[in-house]
Amino acid sequence: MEPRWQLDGTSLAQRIVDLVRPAVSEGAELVALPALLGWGIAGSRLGLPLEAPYGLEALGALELSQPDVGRALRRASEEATDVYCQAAQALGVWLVGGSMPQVSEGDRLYNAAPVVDLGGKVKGWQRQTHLSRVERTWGLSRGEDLSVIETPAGRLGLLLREDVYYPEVGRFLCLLGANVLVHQGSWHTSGQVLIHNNCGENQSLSIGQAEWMSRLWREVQANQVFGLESVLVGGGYRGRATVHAPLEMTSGRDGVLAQAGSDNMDEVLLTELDLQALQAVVDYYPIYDMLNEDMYQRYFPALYERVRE
Amino acid sequence: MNLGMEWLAIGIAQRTLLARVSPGSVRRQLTGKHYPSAPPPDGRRVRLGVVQLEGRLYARLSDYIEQVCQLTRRAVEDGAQLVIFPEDTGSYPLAGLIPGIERLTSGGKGKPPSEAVREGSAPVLFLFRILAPAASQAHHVAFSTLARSCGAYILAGSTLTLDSARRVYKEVRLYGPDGALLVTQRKTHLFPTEALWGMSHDEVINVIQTPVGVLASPICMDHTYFEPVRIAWLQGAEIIIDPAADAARYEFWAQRRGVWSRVQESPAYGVHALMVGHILGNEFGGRSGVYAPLALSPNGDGVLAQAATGDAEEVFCATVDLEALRAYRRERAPDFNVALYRKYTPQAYMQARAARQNGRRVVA
Repeated sequence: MEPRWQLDGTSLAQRIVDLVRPAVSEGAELVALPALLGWGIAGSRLGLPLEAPYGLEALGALELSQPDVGRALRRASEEATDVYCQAAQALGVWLVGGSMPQVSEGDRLYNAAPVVDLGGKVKGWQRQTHLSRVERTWGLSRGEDLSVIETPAGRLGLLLREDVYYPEVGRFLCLLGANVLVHQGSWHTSGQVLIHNNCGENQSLSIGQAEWMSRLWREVQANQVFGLESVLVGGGYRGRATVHAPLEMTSGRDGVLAQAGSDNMDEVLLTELDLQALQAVVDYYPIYDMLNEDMYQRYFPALYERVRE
Repeated sequence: MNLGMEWLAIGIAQRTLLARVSPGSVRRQLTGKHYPSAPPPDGRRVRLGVVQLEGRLYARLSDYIEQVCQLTRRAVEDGAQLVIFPEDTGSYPLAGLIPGIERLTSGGKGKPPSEAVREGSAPVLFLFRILAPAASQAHHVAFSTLARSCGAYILAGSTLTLDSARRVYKEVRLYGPDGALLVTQRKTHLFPTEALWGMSHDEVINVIQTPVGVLASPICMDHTYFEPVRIAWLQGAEIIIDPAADAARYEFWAQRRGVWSRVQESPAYGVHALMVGHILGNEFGGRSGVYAPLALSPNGDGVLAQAATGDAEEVFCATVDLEALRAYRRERAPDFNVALYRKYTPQAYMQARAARQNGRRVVA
């Protein structure tokens, strides 16, 4: 979905409804929106021109830790939440809202995403738990809790942006019961074509394949769950929304259930997640049976702490 | 057979096999040959030699020794400073030393050995206990001698070892250019079939600093899990080696679930050395490779070199740039959320264990 700095919440809600309604009419029960979508409202609150490049980079110049900026972001956060709730209710569908600012009681700023039920009620939140170096310089804080959120499409675990590169997050979420990982990604790319090919024996990976395989695909294979990767396109962002599954469940044995046809246009992917088929895969090849918890306890988390020192 | 009789039988069989693999005869066979010399390491770039070994049963130890000798020489002739062999290099092929191995693995029920081995009706653990001392000794003497003869580091794949309680482990061994055994690594995550046989796993990941880089070598199934590789990485591993033997035909995507994925999470070079061929009717397949984080691979695909086939014996070499890796790791140092890990380790693992229904993970 293409991001824009929005004048107000109403126009964002309308864009979501217009884009998602066809999928709902075809039976979609849950829709995952892309990263950073909810930050769009913050742009006008903070006086950013509509034509300014979209992304946290533009906000980064505003010193997010300043009190007036914090107040504006808090209002934008409330408004974005309302947008998602209204859209979910209007559509009669569960929504994973695109991530948005969230300001805590202690005025700490997070990138966070809500899950909203079809009645327009927020059922859970997930804050981004790992930040890139540049995100840290913008004054973002990282979340320290993980949530598994029950929906009709499965038990969701959300990975926001950088979180997907840390396998700890996906593992914890799946150990806590998630059977669908949702990754909200956003990538500025140099325009390379992101094509999914069904690789034959002697075929090598394209750069685009390697990139998405190194993200949610990898998590899905390691944890034997479904994966929904929503992406921003346009405004300097490119990528293909993809629905992942364990290799054994996909016709090309490639781990891809569906993938967007383009990497730079609005599109909604519609896929059915067969949880019984997933259970069959887990029963046949139960990789969690071989987890070596005693070994992990021997090294974790102390080894991380030692490295940090 | 009661337990006492079984151990008596194992003891007799062990001694009989050990007599067939005397260290002196292995050394004599390897002495007097011409060996290439591995270039001395400079600490910045390392040339890796990867052996994609055809697994077959050797009834004569001398044939096995000749084969691993030739493969080592081929790698070192191509400039390899560290030569890497796959999992089971020092076990399955040497099972051919056990007289009547095919009949014994049929489980006495006339089943094809491949089926009996897969379903666990073959007395695999019993046979491994018989084989372990001889296989371990032959493997050690052969690779220690080869490493010294070529002045190379050799990651000699795995062999079988027994602990004092007679538990059976797969154990990888690294030899230095003076022939010294530098470090061992036991498998920490068993393949379900190995668990079915009654093999044991360890709880330690060893990392060793050498002139050819900081090395770690979790084994095969270990690379299905991020944890052992993360443990190695957090201890400084720069080259993470996956000696593997997958009892399956090569599949492009399935293979990418292993060490290729792991070195994207824990940025390091990854080496996948695989066994191919057929042993006791079981097919082994895979395309060995040398991998890197995407940004450190010339084509952006995380692949530095790979075998041409997924089903034939090959030796190939690739040079990895340790300086480039170190610079990349400094620039892209991860920012771990230790508070988060503290909160969920081991609680999340325990919660998952508690949530199982009749021992089964429920995802539906």
